[in-house]
Amino acid sequence: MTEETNFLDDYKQQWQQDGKELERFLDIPLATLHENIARHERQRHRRVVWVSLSAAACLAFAVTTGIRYLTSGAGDSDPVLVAESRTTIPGSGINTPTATSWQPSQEGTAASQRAKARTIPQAMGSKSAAMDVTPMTEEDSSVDEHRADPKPTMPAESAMPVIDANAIETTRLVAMGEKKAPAREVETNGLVKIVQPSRNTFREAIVEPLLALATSDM
Amino acid sequence: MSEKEKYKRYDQLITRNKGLIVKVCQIYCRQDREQARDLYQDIALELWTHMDSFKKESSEATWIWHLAVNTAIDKLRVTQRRPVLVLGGQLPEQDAEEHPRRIDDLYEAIAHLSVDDQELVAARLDDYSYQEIALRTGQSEGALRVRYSRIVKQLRQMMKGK
Repeated sequence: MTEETNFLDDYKQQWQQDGKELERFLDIPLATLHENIARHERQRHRRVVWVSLSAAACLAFAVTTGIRYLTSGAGDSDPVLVAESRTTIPGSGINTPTATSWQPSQEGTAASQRAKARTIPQAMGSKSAAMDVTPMTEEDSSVDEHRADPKPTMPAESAMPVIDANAIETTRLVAMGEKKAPAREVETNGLVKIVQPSRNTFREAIVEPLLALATSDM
Repeated sequence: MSEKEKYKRYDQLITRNKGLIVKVCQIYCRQDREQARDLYQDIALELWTHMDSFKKESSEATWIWHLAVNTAIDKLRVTQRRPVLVLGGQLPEQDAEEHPRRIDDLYEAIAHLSVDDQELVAARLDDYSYQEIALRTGQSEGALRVRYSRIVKQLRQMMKGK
């Protein structure tokens, strides 16, 4: 052994001691790693559609389309409708934001989401909608749609398709079939850009895919 | 391969190579055990994600070492290489020789080596023989000896701040 290689001998004892201590600390059971994998797989297959609408439009949209899952959280005047499934929405015009464009602060806290999800439908006086307004978790889709204390849905990764339809009243009227939407381009929050479509386009691009999305895998 | 079989294969992979994963956590997260715990689980998850892409072009140990180090660099945003490294202050050469060498400096210097060199020096610090390392990595003992000598020289220079 040369003088050069002896150079590291001074460190060996400390190095090996560090390694043993860390190995004891990192005695993580395989079951924990399996749980991590299961969580990762769920996230990977998850698709969430967020539609930013006013409370009224949110409920009208749900009633019109039959979407069963709603939650809120973007702000008092701008709650968020969530339809969740494990399917994609081909050709729907739904955009996917980048990681940097997503702004979690807009979503509010988990507690405020829960509170809004419960109070908004009641305030709107819509019994049927109130039945539908249930914050959804990954587990909800397969286990229990109406459990007592559900967790709110939060965006967990950047690959979420997003619809941010900010022309609320028009959207609501279009959703209700009362008005033909003007076809023009709208940019909102720097998150997404959508074309406010005609009624037929609206149905084809948003309502039907969302309806399919909301009713699949159930 | 069924899901059950994949999990079984994964468990065997983790069990066989736990020491390597811990060693990478040791190099990159020695000062922060919680971070080391996170990194360990991140690496384990990466193994799950990529285990089907292992082509056996290198040994399993080397493949996992590369994957683990790359995960560490990615997760911890570690700059792997820097042109000039000053560790523990710039001591005059004579003082540096006599000064008790700091283990922290060694860790930092190792983190600046290439991925393959890290694997070799970590194994040698853990008293693995060249024969054992050769079996693990698929390289010849002679080549490992030559490379190790060069690495030690490099570490020595880095730790002197030269």
